[in-house]
Order: sequence, then C-alpha cells, then structure tokens
Amino acid sequence: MSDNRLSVFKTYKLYVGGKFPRSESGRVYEVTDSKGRWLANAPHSSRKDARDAVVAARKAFGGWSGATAYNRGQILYRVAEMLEGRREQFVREVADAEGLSRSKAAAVVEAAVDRWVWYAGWTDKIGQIAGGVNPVAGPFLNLSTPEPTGVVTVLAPRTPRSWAWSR
Amino acid sequence: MASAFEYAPAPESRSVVDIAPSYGLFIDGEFTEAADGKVFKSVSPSSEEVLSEVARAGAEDVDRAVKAARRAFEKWSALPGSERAKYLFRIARIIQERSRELAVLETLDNGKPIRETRDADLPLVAAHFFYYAGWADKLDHAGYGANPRPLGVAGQVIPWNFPLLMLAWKIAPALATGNTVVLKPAETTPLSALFFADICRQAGLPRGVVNILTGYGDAGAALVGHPDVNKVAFTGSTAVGKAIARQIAGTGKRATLELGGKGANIVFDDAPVDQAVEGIVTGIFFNQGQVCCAGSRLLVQESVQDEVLDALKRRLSTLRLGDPLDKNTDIGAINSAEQLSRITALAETGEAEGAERWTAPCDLPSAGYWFAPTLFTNVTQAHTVARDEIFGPVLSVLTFRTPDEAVAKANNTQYGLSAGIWTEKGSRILAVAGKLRAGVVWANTFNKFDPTSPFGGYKESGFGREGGRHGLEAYLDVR
Repeated sequence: MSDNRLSVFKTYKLYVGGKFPRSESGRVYEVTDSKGRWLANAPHSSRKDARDAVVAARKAFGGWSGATAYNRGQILYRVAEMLEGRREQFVREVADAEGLSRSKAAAVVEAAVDRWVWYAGWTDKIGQIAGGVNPVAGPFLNLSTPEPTGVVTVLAPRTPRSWAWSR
Repeated sequence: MASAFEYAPAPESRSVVDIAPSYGLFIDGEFTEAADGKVFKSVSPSSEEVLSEVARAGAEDVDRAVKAARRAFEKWSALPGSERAKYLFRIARIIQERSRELAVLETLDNGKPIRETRDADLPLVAAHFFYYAGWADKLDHAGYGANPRPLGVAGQVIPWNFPLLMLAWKIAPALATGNTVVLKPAETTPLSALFFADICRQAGLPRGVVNILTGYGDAGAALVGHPDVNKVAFTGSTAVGKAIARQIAGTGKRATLELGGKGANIVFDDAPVDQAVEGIVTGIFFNQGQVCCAGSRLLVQESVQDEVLDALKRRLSTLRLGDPLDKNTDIGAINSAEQLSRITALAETGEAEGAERWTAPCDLPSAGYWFAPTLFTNVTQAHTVARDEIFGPVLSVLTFRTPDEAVAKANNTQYGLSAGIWTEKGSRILAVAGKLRAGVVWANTFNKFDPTSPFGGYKESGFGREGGRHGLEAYLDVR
C-alpha cells in the first residue's frame, strides 16, 4: 500500500431478487460521516424500486418458506460465517457512518454476527415451542403449526446505535 | 434371481482417511496411554484386518478422566449459552467438512456399507450437533423453567452399531446444556470417537469438556460407578442396562437407558405392497439389522401374506452383500465374530423350534463376518425368534386377521422401542399408533431419524428420550 496509490471506491447498490441494480430513479443521495464529511453515494430508491423488491420477495417466499428448517438454519449460520469473515470491513463502515469508536463499532458487528447465530438455531425449534397437538375432547386430530407471515417490510431507524448493541 | 448385469466394483477410496498405528485415551485435551499400559486391537469386520491398536482404559484412567471433566465443569457451565452454542456450531461444521473421511473410517471400523455412513450416519451426526448448538442459548425457552442448570459430569457408554451417531446423540445435548462428558465407545468400534477427539481440539473446545476412554465393559462399569459422575447415559443391551440400573440405584445419579427392541412392522391389506416391501427391507436389513429399533417382526395381514412375502423374497434376492466400501453394497459385514455367533445361534434355534427358514441366495466373502439376509415364516409368538432381539439381518414373519389382533401381537413383547404401520388409511394409522406401546411409531416409512424428533423406549427398551426438545431434559436438573 504505497502512499501514492489511489484507492478504489465502492459503488453501493440495491439488492433486489439476488441482483445488485442501481435505482430505477437514476438518483443517489450523499452519505456522510458524523462530522458531515462525504463517505459515499447511496442509491435513492423510488416507489418502483420498492414494488420490484416486494415482487421479488413474494416470488421467493414459496421456496424459502418451503425449505426445511434445517436448511434455513444452515443458511443463516452461513451468513454469520460470512459476516465474521468480513468483520474488518463492517467495523470500518459502522465506525465511519455511525461515528462510533473502533471498539464500539466492533461490538456492534460482533453482536450482529451472534444475532445471526441465535436465529440460525431457532429455525428448527420454533415449531416445537409454538406448535403441537391440541388435546381436543373429541374423536379428531388437531394440530397447531406456526406459519411464516409472508413478505415482511423492515424499516431501519435513522440512528441505529441506540438499539444495535444495547442487547 | 441371477443378475442380468454384473456391477463393476465401485469402492470408495481409503486414502481419504489416515489411521494411525496406535491411539491413546483422550483425557483433559491430550492423548495419553492407559495407566497400566494396556492396549487392544480394533479390527475391520469385513476383512479381519487390524486397523489400529488403542489404549485400554482401566479404573485409574476413568478416575483421571472424571476428574478432568469435573475441573472443566465449572467454567464450561458458567459460559454464556451463546458461547457454548458457537463451540457446537464449530464442531458441526468440522464434521461436515470431514464427513467423507469419517464415513470411510466408520465403514472400515464398523463394517456397515459406505452408502449408509455417507448418506445416513454422517449427515445425521452433523445435524444433531447443529440442532443442539441452537439450544445452548435457548434453554430458557425449552419448557424446563427459567435458567435450567446442568447436572455436572456425564458418564456415557455407547454401542458399536452407530458409533459416531450415538456419540452425537450423547455429547451434543450434554454440552449444549453445560455438562462435561466422559464417553466410552464400544470396544469393537473405538476409532471414530478418537477422531472426534481431534475435532474437539480443532474446534478449540476447552480441555476436559470432552474426554474419550476407549476400552471394554470393565471401563464402562467403572465409569458408571464413579462417585463423581452425576449422570449416566447408556445405549446398549437390555441385560447391561439392567445391571447399570442396579449399580446406580440409590446413588442419586440421573440415568437414561436406551436398550433393546423387537419392533413390529405391521402391514395391512390396503398397504401399497412395493412401498411396504422397501420399508420392510429398510426396517430389518438397514445396518445388517444391528439396530435397536429394527422392525424385526413383520406382522402381515393374512389376506396379503403371499403377495407381500413373494415380493419381499424377490427384493431380498437383489440385495448386494459384500465389500462395505463399495458404493453399490446394500449389506455389509456383521460387526464382530461374537455378534455373528449370537445371530447364528438364534437362527438355529428358530429352525429347531419349527419355524421355516429362507435365506437370500448370495455368496459370502471368505474373510470377515457375514450373515445373509434371512427370514422365518410359520413363526408363532412363542418362538424365540419372535421374542428375543437377534440384532442381525433376520426377520420373523407373523400374520394377523384384524387390527386388534395386530395391536395385541405387536405389543406382546418385553420391549417397546419402535413399530411401523403400513396402510393407505389415515384414521387407521392414528388409531393403531395410539394403541402401540412403542416409543417411535413410523407410518408408511421406517427407520427415519431427525435430530428434532425424540427417541426412546417403553418397557424393557429403556427410559428417557434422546433428540428433540425432549432430549434436553435428561441433561438438566429439573427435579
């Protein structure tokens, strides 16, 4: 890493249906650090981008919810493995974008990795805890099985630091 | 039925596994010789080749191992569950990575076909560690109260029929709940447990959390009887299980015993015959019938008896017996000379008592321990082959006329581990399953296992459950 070398910036994009498109709007907004310095341009998603994302999620729902709980657990655990492997990158990005110290940023990333591991273990247990055979008073069999909701929309808060490592 | 097409040999390569000429005991994170220097040989049952020489644990080694486990207990049980979980996830992943090596090793040491170790044993072993890894930080949610506590040091004694899978059934829930372990594998199949010790080291598991003692029954008895063992888990014969129950009576040690079985596989007249035949074959010839939950009694409805038996004999004639490392092999070797003589003697008793014997036409290799798939017809409930667990590829066929008779005959046994029901009628499955005194009842399938599903016996098949949420209870202080 010579001092003369110019580093390569990352183009941040959307993630929709397994692909990394730019926003349909063609627009971006500036992401700055806590001191207002420019960090990167992020795609400024439009309503159409949101619709495309929901359509992609709906399309994937059958396959994902139909996969065995074991298989889903393996994939969640894989995410934890990959996140751990890219720990340094995420610590840097969290520190820059959220204005955290390195050690606090590391704690945020570590908590995120462990959270993936925690839910990797839940996939094949939730059915036994939330479901079961109901002891009905009659000659019929009655089962309860928790089922997934469907497509879920998640809105991340503007200042994640208050909750991300509070647990 | 002579095969129209011969199969070319398709052996899995042995080069994937490197077996050392000798192994020590795994105590406190180190391989060490037995205190008295004793060793024994582990033999490949398909060739009688000596695979390795392993240390033979004695009472002094048991004491060392239990002390190591006790020392490790305080820290291990105090770790946050999420940290214990990550150790178990590591172990699960390393098992997946090394699964072909372990499958070949298990086939060499046990004699079972590579198709089974590769496609059944090893995937289940890894899945079991994954499943219990997930429980380690969720014990509050398991239904055993808030913050359930571990028992302490678990002394575990496992059999030779599924060496690594039985190890997983024992060690995964014990570690997830915060116990430490001293495990004794069977004397005829010590190697995969020693490879597992190496996996514990690769995973960075703290010293003393898992200790492996290879040896004979005397080491098992010393382990079970050690005063500082809090929990005994045993899978094996009913006779030894009873001896263990007597040995620990009044000591306050907690125990789970998973013992013998004489599972009934009930085929009703509306069952799809081809499917049922496959299930009967899986039920009694999987792992050469050396399965405690084997469907060793076929109860077939009288009206379809001829059809089912003809189809079954036809199918058995196509089973390929031979080199367990060959990927086309269906039936491997019997685990030991001792087990072979037990099977042979019980089959002879069957003939002497008047049951009609049929043996699948196949050549037996000259070296090693082999027994051709065999079935007995004209069997009554009084016959020894209908009552005693043979633990080999021998099926006893009985008939029935009504569902009530099927249930009565299925339950007419000292055991109660498994049963199977074959019928197209869902209501009959539920009605019959509810009346069977068996820990596991399969419907239109047999010998299906999953880490989420508890397993265990009624009556003389033992007590306690392994697997699933239920399997946690055996390792938690829930009194």
